[in-house]
Amino acid sequence: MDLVFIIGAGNAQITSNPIINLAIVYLPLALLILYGQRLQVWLITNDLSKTVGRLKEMKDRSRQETIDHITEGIDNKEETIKRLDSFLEYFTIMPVDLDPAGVINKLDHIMTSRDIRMKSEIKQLFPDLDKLKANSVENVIEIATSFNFVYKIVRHFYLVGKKTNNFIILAQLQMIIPFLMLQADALSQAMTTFKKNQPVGDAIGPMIVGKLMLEHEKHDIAVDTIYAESDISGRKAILVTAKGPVGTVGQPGNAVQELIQKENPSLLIMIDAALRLEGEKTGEVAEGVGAAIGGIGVDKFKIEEAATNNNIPVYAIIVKQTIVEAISVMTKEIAESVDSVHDIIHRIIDERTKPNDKVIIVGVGNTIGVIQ
Amino acid sequence: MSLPIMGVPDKKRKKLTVYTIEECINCKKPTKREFKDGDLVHKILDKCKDCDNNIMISLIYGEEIKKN
Repeated sequence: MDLVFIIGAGNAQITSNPIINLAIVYLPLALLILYGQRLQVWLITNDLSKTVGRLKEMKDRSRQETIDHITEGIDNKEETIKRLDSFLEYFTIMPVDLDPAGVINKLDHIMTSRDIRMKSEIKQLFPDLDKLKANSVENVIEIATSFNFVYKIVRHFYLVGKKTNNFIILAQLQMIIPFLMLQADALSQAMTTFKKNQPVGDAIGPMIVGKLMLEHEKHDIAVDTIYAESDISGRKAILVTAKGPVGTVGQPGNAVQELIQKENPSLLIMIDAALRLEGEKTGEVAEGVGAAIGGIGVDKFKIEEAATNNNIPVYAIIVKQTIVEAISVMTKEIAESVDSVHDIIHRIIDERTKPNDKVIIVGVGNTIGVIQ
Repeated sequence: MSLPIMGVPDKKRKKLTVYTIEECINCKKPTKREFKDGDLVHKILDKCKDCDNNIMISLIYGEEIKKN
């Protein structure tokens, strides 16, 4: 009766009957205090199980799409599927960075070895494929591998959280899941685009520089990377980009390093796609300073080092887009930024260089579906 | 039962139709058509009917289908 009296003093009575009050208000309250976290764990687990199921569906669909794409017109399908499943489990061990000096060279070596191995295995598996189709197969397998990786990581934390009833692990996973699902959605859309060799949003850099390269002689400068020489406003423009129309980003770092040594330019202009912030418009063009290039940092390091050692200013032009737009078919807003970027290139060259100067212009990005 | 989770991405995915823009190198007359397999940006196609110069694919892009 004392309890009822104290609670009643807080004006939390629903009825005048204290037993009913206890059942309706105070019993659930006590249960929530005691078992609230367990209830939250149950709700989050329930929610996550649906997301993990959706990711599994997406991963299985991507595997099936990859199988359909690579086994088209092939007799020995079973052996190919077996090899594909081993591709999906491929991993790359990053170099030790306890002593960071020289880590870029090690990273470069590991990533180059990975690319060479992937290409040679695909060549071995499909010896009759032309370069465009072989590259399409490589890209599609990479997408399926990424899907597999994302799914396995999410499933791991989901199962660990569930097994140990750990609210913190589950809550953290639940918080990060929307962003992972965005990535998964982007990968799902990328699959179709890469199968059809359509240009993706990230191809805007190679497309802008590729247009300037048309009707000029192209030379190989690094793996999957070409350059051409042109005249812009009386300056020697050295145009660099990955070699299309296959889906590759090339090695702009090696190319720029070599060209800086050879040509000693007075300016370096880099054009790339960049992730936009929410609220910004897709296809918006912005200018800045610095090496406009993504990836794991090997190419960026090489370009920055070469530019710094030779005291060459690096100007950046970016075309804004989301992660989904960067790896799925190029949207109209992005495609229509080509002319405005050309205008900016001309303006920068006119304002920042003198006649007869040399300028390196690099179109950074995946050159899928774009011929130079 | 599902929790209202934070930062759920927009589930409405835009449906894009992919178009190819062909343009004569000389008279710059653009033609828009649906994308076909084998289309590549800067690929040279037929001759222009008006000026007999080459027609080139200038752009390939996806555009949202607008509901009437």
